[in-house]
Amino acid sequence: MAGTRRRPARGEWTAWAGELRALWTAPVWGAAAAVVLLALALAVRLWMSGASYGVLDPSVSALTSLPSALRAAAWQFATLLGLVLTGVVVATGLGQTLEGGTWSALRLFENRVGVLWARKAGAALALSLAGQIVTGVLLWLATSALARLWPVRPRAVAPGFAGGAAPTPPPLPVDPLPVESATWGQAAGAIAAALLVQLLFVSLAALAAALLRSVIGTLALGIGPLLVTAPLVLLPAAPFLPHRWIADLLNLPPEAQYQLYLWNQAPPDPAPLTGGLALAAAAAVAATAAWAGLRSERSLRPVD
Amino acid sequence: MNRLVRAETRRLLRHPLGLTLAALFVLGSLYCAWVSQSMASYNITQVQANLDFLPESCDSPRNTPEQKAGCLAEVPLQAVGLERIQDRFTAEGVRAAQAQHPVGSLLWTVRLLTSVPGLVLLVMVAAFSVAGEWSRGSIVPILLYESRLGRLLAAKALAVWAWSLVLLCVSAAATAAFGLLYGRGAYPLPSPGALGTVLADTALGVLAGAAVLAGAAAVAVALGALLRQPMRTFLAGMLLLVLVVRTSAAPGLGAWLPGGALADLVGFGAVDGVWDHFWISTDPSTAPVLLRVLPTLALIGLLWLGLDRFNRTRDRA
Repeated sequence: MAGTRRRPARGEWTAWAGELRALWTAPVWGAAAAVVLLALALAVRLWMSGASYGVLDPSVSALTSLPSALRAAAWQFATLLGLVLTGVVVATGLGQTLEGGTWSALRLFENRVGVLWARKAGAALALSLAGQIVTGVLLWLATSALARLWPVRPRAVAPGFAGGAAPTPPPLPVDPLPVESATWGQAAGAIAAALLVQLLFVSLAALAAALLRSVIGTLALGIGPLLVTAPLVLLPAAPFLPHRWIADLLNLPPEAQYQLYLWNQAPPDPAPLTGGLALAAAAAVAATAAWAGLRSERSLRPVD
Repeated sequence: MNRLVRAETRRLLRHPLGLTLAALFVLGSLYCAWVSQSMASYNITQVQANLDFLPESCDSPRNTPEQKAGCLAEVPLQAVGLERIQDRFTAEGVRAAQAQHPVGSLLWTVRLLTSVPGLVLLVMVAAFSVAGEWSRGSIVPILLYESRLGRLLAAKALAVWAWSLVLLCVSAAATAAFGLLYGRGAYPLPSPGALGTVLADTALGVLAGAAVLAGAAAVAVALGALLRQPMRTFLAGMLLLVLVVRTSAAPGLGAWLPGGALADLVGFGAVDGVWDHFWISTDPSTAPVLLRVLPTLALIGLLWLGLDRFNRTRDRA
């Protein structure tokens, strides 16, 4: 009927949820579990190595507060671990659909490529958000347990050479919430920033899937260029690279490098607004290019 | 068989995925060559400057005569220490200088290709070429042409190996061009040796590297045929690679395991600043390396025998 507004059918909502269910595959959950375990292992290793010496990096001891742990999880998901996980997710979802030839079947039911693409991206971002929250909570639980089991205590001082016992220094006060702790607002900001970075990763991987139409092609072209060009941040071209924009936006602290995030650079003078705008523009360009690639007739033919 | 190998090789060499992976590897290889030459040249220059300054280091006007005498007495000891450092940096420089040599660049590149970056690419190509056939459904027409799956997989393994050898040549040519046109001028390094020595070292290194690549292609293709899904093949390959690298340093046994044996076979040394980040042989053994490779060869043979037996029964309804 003309003039009536079309209400979203129940089937459309289930289609959106179905995309998330479709990601329930062994490779995706295996990769997600590996990322979470690796993030936990890094934090636990740092705690164990520091606690025995009575010295703990403030960025690690701050993880005993939930907002700080969530912020650390957001850092992990917006850097190398998140990039790899996104590559696996998009390759398993969109890449497999294109390689197996089921994309053309999907188009028979929903010819609006933008909607299909938005569902895939939405599912990947929802998975990323869930992964960040789970990782953050696990980091918080693990470090809280460690704080009870292996509290940071100064080492006992050996007796002096003269035979007399050296005076034992008083135990160091362990501040449960050091200055590096994040507020809930900072944690929410970091998670939002990580989702923007994830959108860029998802768009780049989808563009790779549209171009190469294969699982391995999605992995190679979705992850490879960012990994291979990572060392270029050492050159004067750094301000024009997405690696630098990511570090700018997340305000990655240099002292937590290779501890709470795996990334190549933490800029001394971060410009979050510039980084955020540049990332948003790059994500928009990549998403549009992926949409155009997925609309083409080429995407309907299975790869040779 | 020959036609199959030729067709598969042609397909891999022309496919956008093969070209993409090759471009990524060449770029990464160039970066590694640049960093290793820059670091080696800087280190050699710095240690030489320190050695040159050493005799004058005690001449500070702030030094009392006693302090100056004490300082002069320590100069020979410091010189010995610096000369040791200089020897190590020179050895690093000689290895980095291979990337500036038209022939030696092959040896330099084969070490990168047989380390983690190259082996990851090999797993990706095998996952696409073998597991992808099942994923895309194109295995059926191929089996109509060649119904013996073992021969088909052997042809694919040979094609993946040939692709890696072509990549080796292309990447070595790019590295040599960079070294000759820019590296030699910007980063002066000690000579990699006489032409005969470089030729002999390169021939041995490339032979060993080609053997490692053949073994890696055989394992990657077998994984793809076992799992029949590209993503699972890739993830399983990565897990296997992590296992190989991590066990290479196992005390007492590492030299006999695939990681340690292959690192010694190709000649990963303690002075390669680039690829040692990925793969270190820290379990030296007096047993000949060719003997230590035998367990790895036996494992690969068993894998293929098991795959053959499994394939005879798994598709029967």
